[in-house]
Amino acid sequence: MLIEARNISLDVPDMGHHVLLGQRRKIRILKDVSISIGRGETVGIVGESGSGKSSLGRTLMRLYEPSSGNLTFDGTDITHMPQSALKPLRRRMQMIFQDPQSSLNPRLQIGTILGRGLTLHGLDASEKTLAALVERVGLPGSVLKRYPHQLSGGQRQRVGIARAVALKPDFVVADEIVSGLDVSTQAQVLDLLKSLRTEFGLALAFISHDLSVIRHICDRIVIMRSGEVVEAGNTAETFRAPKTEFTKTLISAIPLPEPDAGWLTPP
Amino acid sequence: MARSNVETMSTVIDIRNLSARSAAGAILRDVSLTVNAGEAMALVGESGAGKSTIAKAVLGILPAAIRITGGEILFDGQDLLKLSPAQIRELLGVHIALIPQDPLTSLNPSRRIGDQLTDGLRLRAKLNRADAMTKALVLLNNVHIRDPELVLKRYPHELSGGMRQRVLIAQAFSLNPRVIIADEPTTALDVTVQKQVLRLIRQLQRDHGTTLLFVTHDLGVVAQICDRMTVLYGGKVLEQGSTAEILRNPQHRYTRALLAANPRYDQPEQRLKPVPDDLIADLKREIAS
Amino acid sequence: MPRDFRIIWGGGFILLLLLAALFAPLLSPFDPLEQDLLIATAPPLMETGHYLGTDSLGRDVLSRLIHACRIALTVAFVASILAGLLGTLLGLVAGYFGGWWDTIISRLIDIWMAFPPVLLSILLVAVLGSGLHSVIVAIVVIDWTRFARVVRVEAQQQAKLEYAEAATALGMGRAAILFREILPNILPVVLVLLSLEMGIAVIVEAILSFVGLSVSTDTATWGGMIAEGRQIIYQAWWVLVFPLVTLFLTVLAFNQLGDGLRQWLDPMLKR
Repeated sequence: MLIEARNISLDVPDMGHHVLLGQRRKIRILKDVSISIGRGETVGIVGESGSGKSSLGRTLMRLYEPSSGNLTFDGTDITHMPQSALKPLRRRMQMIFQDPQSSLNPRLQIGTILGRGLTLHGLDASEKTLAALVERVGLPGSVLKRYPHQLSGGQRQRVGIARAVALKPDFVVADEIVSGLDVSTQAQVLDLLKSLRTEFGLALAFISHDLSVIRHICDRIVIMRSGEVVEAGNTAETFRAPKTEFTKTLISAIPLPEPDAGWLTPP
Repeated sequence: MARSNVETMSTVIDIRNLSARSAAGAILRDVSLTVNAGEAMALVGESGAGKSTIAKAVLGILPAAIRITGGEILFDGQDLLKLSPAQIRELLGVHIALIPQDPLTSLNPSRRIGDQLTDGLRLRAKLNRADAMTKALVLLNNVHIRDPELVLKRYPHELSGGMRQRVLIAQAFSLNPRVIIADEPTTALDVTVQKQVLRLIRQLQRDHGTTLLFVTHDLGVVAQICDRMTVLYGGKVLEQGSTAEILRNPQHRYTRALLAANPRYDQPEQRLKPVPDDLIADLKREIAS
Repeated sequence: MPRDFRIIWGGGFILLLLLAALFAPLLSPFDPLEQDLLIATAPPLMETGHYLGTDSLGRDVLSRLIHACRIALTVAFVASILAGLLGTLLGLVAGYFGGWWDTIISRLIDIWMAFPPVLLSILLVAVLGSGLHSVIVAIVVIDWTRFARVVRVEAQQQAKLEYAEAATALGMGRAAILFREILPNILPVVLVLLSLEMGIAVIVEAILSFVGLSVSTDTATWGGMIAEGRQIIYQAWWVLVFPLVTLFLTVLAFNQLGDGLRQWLDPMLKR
C-alpha cells in the first residue's frame, strides 16, 4: 500500500468556544479511521456534509496533523512529520481542490500558478513544459497568460488538475472536484482524471458526496458518517449488497432519471 | 400519470414567445411553454440555459441588467409583464410564491423564524400576531418539523440546511398560492435530505393542488417529481413534453446527450459521454439563426 | 488603464499638488515669508499680482499655499507609508500565524483604538516636541491600527481559501505563502487604505499646525494659515477660505482616489 492510515483521529479547536487564555475546547472530527490506497487504485471516500470526508482527505495529505493513530506514505511514517521535512514528499502527493475558483490564486496568471510548484521542487518550468502541461489537460496554450476568473468553471478545474499532476505525483487526493460542474463538463473532467490515473499509475483518493460518480470511477469505497467509517469494501460489491442500513439509505436516496411512482412514497 | 385530456385542463401559466437580453447577448430566445393547473413542470438545462431567468421573469424579479425584449407571460390570462411593480407585489406570495435555492441566504439571519414565517400571514392574510403564530405552528407541523414551538423562536443559523429549506417551503405554501416556483430547491442539500424535501414538496403540492414550476439541472429529480419537462439550451426550448416519454424516448439529440453524460449508479458499465462538440456547434448555429 | 472618474480627478489633483510642492520656488509669485505691512490684508486682485490676496503681515497667500503643499504632502506620504508598512506587517502576522501573535497584536489594537486619536496625537507631539518628525511619528504611532485591523481580517480570510492550502500541498513554506500567495491579494486593500490614510494624515497635520504643534510657526502650513485667517475672518476672508478649500479638496481627492482604486483593483470586476 502506498498510503496507509491506521486508526487516525483528528481533533480541532472549537471556534465557538471562547476562552481568555489557554486552550480552546477540542472537537473530534475523525474517529479511529483506517484506510489504505495502493498504486493504480482509486478509493472513493463518500459521505454527507459533516461526515469528515474532506478532513480525512486533508489528513492523508498531511495538511492536518492526526491527533492519534498512524499514517505512512510509501513506508515512511509521516504522522507527525514537520512541514519542512515533508517538503520532498510533497512532490509525490498532490491534491485537487473542490472549488477551482478559490483554489487558484486570483492575482496570479495560470502560467505562474502552474510554474510555482515546479520551480519549488527544482523541476523545469519553462514555457514549453507549461504549454505541454496545459495541452495534456485539454486547454489551449493561451490560458497560461490568463487569470483564473477569465476561465470557465470546467477550465479552472482542468488547471487544478494540471497543477496536481505537474509534479508527476504517485498519490492524489481529489476533493469533490466535479461537484459544481454541469454533467457534460463533469463527464469531461472524469474522463481526463481516468486517463491521467492510468498514465501515472496514481493512487487516487476520490472524495465525493455523489455516489453515482463514485460508482463510475472507484475500485473501492469508504462510506463515512460523523467522522467514522461506516462501511468499506469493493465498489461493485457494496452497491450490489450494502452491508449497513446507512449505505442502503444513501443509495436509495439517489433519484434515477426514470419515473418511479414508488420512490417518493413514504415508507 | 396518464394525462389523456390535456385540452380540458386549465392553463395557469402561459409563456408566449418570451425573449430577453443582457449586455452579453440574448438570454431567452422565443420561449413558449404552458403549465397546467395542478401539474409540475420542470425547466431543465445546464448553466446558461436560461431556466432561472424564466423563473425570475415569472416572479418579476429579473436583475436590472436583463431586459425582456418580447413576448408575454400570461397568468390566468393576465400578462404579468404589463403589471406595475405594485400589482406584481400584490400577486407575489398570495398567488405566486418561491422556494429559493439557498436556504441560508434566503432567510434574514437576524430575525427569528417565527417572525419571518408570519410576515406574509400578517401582511397579506391580515392575521394578528397571535393568530399568525398559531397558523405558523400548523405550517411547521405540515412540513414535518418536530418541536415547532421551539423552532419558531430560533434564528436561521441554529437550524440545519434541511430544516431551513422546510421553513422556506412552509413559507411558500403559507398563503396557499396557485403557483409555486422552485428554483433548484434541493441543490444545496444532502441526498437523503433532498429525498425528504422532494417528498414534502410533492405531498404539499398534491394536497393543495398547487401548480409547480421546478427549475433544476438534475434529471433524476425531474423524473421523480415532475409530470412534464422543458429542455433548454442557450435560452431556447429544445424539447417539451411528458417527463416519462422524454426520458424514455428523447427526441432531441441534446436531450439524449445530456442523459448519456449523466452518471447512473445502476449502469456502471455505461461510459459517461460529454455532450459532443459538433452537437454544441450545431446548437449554437441553430440558436443564432 | 483606469477610466474611473474618481481616479482621474483624485489622482490628477494630487499630482497637481505634488508638482506644486516640487516646484514651489518656481511657481510662487512671491517669497512666502516676505512681509510687507503696507499691503497687509490686501484683497485678491489681478493687478497687484497677489492673486489670492495677502495676510495680516502682507505675505502672499498663494505663495504660502503652494509652499504649504510641501509640508502637507511630506507628512501625507511619509507618515502614511510608514504607518502602512508597520500596520500591514503586524496585521499579516496576526492574521496568518494566529495563536499568541494574534492574541497580542489584537489586544494591542483594541487598546490603541480606545484612545481618542486627536487627543493622543496632540499629547504625543507635546511630549516629543513640535516639528515635522514628531508629527510623522505621531501619525504612524496612532494610525498603524487602521491598517493592522483590516489586513488582519483579510489575511485570515485569504488563509482560509483553498489556494493557500494548495500552496502548502505543493510544499511551500509558511513565510513564502504569506508573502508570495496571500500578500498580492491584500495589496489592493492596503493601497486603498493608504490613499484614505493620506487624507487623514493631511487633516491631522492641519490640526496640529492649527494648534501650533507642527513645524515652526513661520513656515507656511495649511493649518497654520487657517489659524491665522480665523482671527481676521471679518477683515480678510480670503486668508481663511483659500487654505480651507485647498485642504478640503485635497482630502476629498485622496478619498475619491481610494474609492476609485477599490473598485478598479478588484480582479473580479476587471475584464
